[in-house]
Amino acid sequence: MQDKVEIVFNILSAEYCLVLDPNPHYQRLVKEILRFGGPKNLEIEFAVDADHGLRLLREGSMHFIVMETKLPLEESIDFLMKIRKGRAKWNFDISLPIIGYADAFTPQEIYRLRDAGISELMIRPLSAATFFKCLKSASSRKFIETSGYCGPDRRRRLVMNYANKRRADDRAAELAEAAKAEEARLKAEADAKAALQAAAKAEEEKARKLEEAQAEAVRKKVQAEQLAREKAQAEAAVAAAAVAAAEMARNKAEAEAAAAKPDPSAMTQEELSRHLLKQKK
Amino acid sequence: MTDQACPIEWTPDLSVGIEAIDDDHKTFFVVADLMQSAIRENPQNLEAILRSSITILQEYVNGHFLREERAMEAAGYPKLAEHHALHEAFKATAHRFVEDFNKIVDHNEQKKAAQKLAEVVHDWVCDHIAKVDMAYKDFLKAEHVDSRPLAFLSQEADEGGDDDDFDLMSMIPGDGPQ
Ligand SMILES: [Fe+2]
Repeated sequence: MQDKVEIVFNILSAEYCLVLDPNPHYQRLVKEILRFGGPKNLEIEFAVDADHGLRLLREGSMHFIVMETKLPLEESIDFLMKIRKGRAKWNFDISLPIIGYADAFTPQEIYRLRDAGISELMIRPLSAATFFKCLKSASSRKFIETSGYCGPDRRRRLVMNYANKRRADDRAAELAEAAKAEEARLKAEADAKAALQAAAKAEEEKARKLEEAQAEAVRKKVQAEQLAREKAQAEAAVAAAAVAAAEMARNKAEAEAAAAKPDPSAMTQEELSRHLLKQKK
Repeated sequence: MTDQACPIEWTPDLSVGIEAIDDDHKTFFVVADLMQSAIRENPQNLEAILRSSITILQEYVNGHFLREERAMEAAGYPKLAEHHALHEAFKATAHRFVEDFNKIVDHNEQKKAAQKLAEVVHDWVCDHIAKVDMAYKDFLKAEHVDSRPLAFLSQEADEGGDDDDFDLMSMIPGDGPQ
C-alpha cells in the first residue's frame, strides 16, 4: 500500500521532536503516543512555553514539533511566526512540520494558526491514528516562502480528528449543517430562478403591451384616415348633390324660360321685332 | 489476580520474548497509570485528558490484538480461535465502559468511571499476559510478528478510519496568497 510506505519513510526517520505543552499529563500522553506509536528511538524534548521552545530549537535541531495551540493562542501564533519567518535568524530548519492541538477551534482561530504557519491541527481527544496521519500529511507538504506568508502549502488540507462520542456528534452536526446549507443553497437557487423567470415574464409583458399600443395607434390612425375619407366623401356627395340641384334648377329654369319663350314662327311681325329687340338688349 | 501479583509497571517476568508485543503490553500499563495519576492530581482539564487516554487505549487495544492474532496465524498457533474469543470479549467489555463513560456528565462520576476503566484494563492485561499470552511464548517467533509501530496496526484495525478525516479548509473561506 502506497500510504504505508510513505508513513514509514516520513515518520520513522525522525529522531528528534519537541513537545510544547505546559500540561505534564499531555506531555506524557504525547510521549506515549510517539514512543509506542511512532519512531522507535525518537528523542523527545519538552518545553513549557514559547521561549523555552525556541531555546531548545536553537540548541538542537528537531524533526518536528507537537504543540498546544492555546498556550494561550497569541503566544502560540507568535511562536509559529518567529519560526516560519526566521530564515535569516535561526540555525535550524524553519520548514519543519508543526502539529497543533486544542480542545476546540473557531474558524477564525484555524485561519490565524494556518496563516502563522501551522502544518496540521488536531482536536482533543487525541488519537494516535490521527496523530500519525497528521505527521504523514505535514511531512509531505511543500514549504512556501513569500513576503506575505511563510509556511506549509495552505492548499493542502489539514486533517482533524473526531474521536468517540464527540466524533459521532460532530459528524452528525456537521452533516446536519451541510444538509441545512444544501437546503439553503437549493432555496436560493430556486429563488434566483423564480426571480429570473419573473423578470423575463415582466419583460415579455412589457414588450407585449408596447406591441399592443403600437397596434392600437396604427388602428386609430387607420380609423382616423377612414373617417377623414368618409367625411371627404360625404362632403363630395353634398357638393355633388348641390351641383345636381343647381343643374336641376338650371334645367328647370331653362324649361320654364323655354316655355315662356315665344315661338317666333307664331309671332306677328310686331311681336317678333319686340322679341329680337329684347334679345339684343 | 491480586494487586500484589500485578505491578503498576510492566516487569520483565511478564515478557513473552517478542519485543514488539512486550512494548504493546508496556503501553497498556503506562496509559492506565497515566489515567490514574491524572485522576489523583485532578488537573483543570482532567476530562479532556481522560478522553484522550481512553481514545488511545481503545486504538492500542485494537492494534495490539491485531498484531498478536496475525502473528498466531502466521505461526499456525493452535489456540488462535480461543485466544481471539478472549480478545473479542475484552474489546466488548472495554467498549461498554467507554460508552458508559461518554454518557456521564457529572465530573466526579466521570472520575470514578475512568478510574474503574483504568483498573479493569490494567488488571485484565496483567492477568491475560500471565495466563493466556504466556501460552504462545515458545510458539511465536519474531519473524511471525508485524513489528511496525502500534499506531499503524491501530489504523489498520480501525478500518475506514480515513472516512473520519475532516477537511478543516472547508471551514474557512479562501486559501490566502500562495
Ligand atoms: Fe493476547
